[in-house]
Amino acid sequence: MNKTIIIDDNKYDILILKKLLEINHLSDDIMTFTSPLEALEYIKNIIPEQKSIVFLDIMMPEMSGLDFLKHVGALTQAKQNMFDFYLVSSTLDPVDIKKAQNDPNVKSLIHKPITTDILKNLLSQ
Amino acid sequence: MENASDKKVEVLFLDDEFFNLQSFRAAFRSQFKVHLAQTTQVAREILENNEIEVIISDQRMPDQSGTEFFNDIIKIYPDPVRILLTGYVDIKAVIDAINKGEVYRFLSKPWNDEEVKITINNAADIYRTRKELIKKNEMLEKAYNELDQFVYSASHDLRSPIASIKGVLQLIDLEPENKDEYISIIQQITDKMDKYVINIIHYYRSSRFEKKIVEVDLKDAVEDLLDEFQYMPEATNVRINTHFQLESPVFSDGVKIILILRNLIHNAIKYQRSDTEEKLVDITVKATEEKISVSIRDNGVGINVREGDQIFKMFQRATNVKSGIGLGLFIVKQCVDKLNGEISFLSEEGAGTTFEIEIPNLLNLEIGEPSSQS
Repeated sequence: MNKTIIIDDNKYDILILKKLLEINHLSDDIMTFTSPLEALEYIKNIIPEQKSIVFLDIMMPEMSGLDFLKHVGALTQAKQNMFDFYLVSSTLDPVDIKKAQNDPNVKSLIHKPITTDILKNLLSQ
Repeated sequence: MENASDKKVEVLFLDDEFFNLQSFRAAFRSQFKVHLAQTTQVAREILENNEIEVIISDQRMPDQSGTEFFNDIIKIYPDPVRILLTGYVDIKAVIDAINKGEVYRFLSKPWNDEEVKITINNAADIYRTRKELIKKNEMLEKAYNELDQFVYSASHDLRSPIASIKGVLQLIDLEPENKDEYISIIQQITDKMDKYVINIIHYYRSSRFEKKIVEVDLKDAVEDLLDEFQYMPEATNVRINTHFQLESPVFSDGVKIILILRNLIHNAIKYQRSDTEEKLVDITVKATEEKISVSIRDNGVGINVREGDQIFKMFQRATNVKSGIGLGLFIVKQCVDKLNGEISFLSEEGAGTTFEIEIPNLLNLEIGEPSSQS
């Protein structure tokens, strides 16, 4: 079973994703953050025992998902390897798509709304 | 253009013959603002220090010909309209200069006052029309940029709740037994979206409508807003004090004044701390013949100071504690700017925020006078 972290300033979107993961039995260990700063603190401080999947919203007022990844890029490689980042967005801004593709930590970019099919597809990879 | 033509046309007259300078001044000083130069050196100094609209230069001068002079200055001062004055039938140089675009027109010596006057007025028209066009283009450019930003942000902000609703609908499919809970979430999301759309309409009003100066009853305006806000869920247990010191009737753009008050009072009520019993909002409104001052103080969540200047930017949400819509303070700032006012704020995270606004009282303008700006 996967460990999952959801970072999104929108509490409704957190709820949707969390429920989808639970209902479809895709993850049984889900942490959620509405504040990317708190999430970053958490990621900096934990010693991960297993690989985590991180769903990261792009547009957040405190810190954008792309800026968040810059901070992640400063962590040790061993630590970075413990997280698979999926960027989540409801916009189709080509600039964001390009940046996401260029970031080695990003597994892929997902457009909201996230569906059961999308999740099953991602997590079976 | 009315404003522009009220101002006297600034004309630079360059001629090495002192007598010509004198008679030019005598003939035109009452109609134009005349600057005289006997050498190209003096002419350059005048160009440097004044907004010259039309230059008339003699062709035959000892140090430099008129066309050479124009050719030299055209790169540094491309805007003034250039007219060549020539006593000889120096026709080749004139044709050349006109063809190269260096000279708008030529006048022959001895000049005819009426002809010179018409020529200067036409040249000034060209100068001022070009200026106006440049200004309009800049405004248009700015409007385009704002529109781009607006469309991008608005489409994101409108699309994201739709995506959320779609997501919740999926959950209803998967967990029909929790339908009621999910429907109430959809309701909350649509309420937020509705407020956002209403804010867009307010923004549109604040930016597009011409200003209309009317008498504004500030006390009435504040009390109407408070009546409206008392039903906000956040308004329970918030103590609101109002102080009015209205020494003069107030004339201003009523729509904008109310938009400013609406957004700031709404924010003060909304961004209260949930962990405090003593929730306070203080509203002080003063008016003199010169100005309107408004101060709105709360002891709410406060604004992170590092966000200081950011808070007036479009769609930037200043606090992450509660869902905000991001347009409110942008609208406030835009309205205050359009009323030639000033806005400032003091804030401490966790301790509260005070917004101070000063706006000129347009008491002495006639009611409903159409604005000459904007």
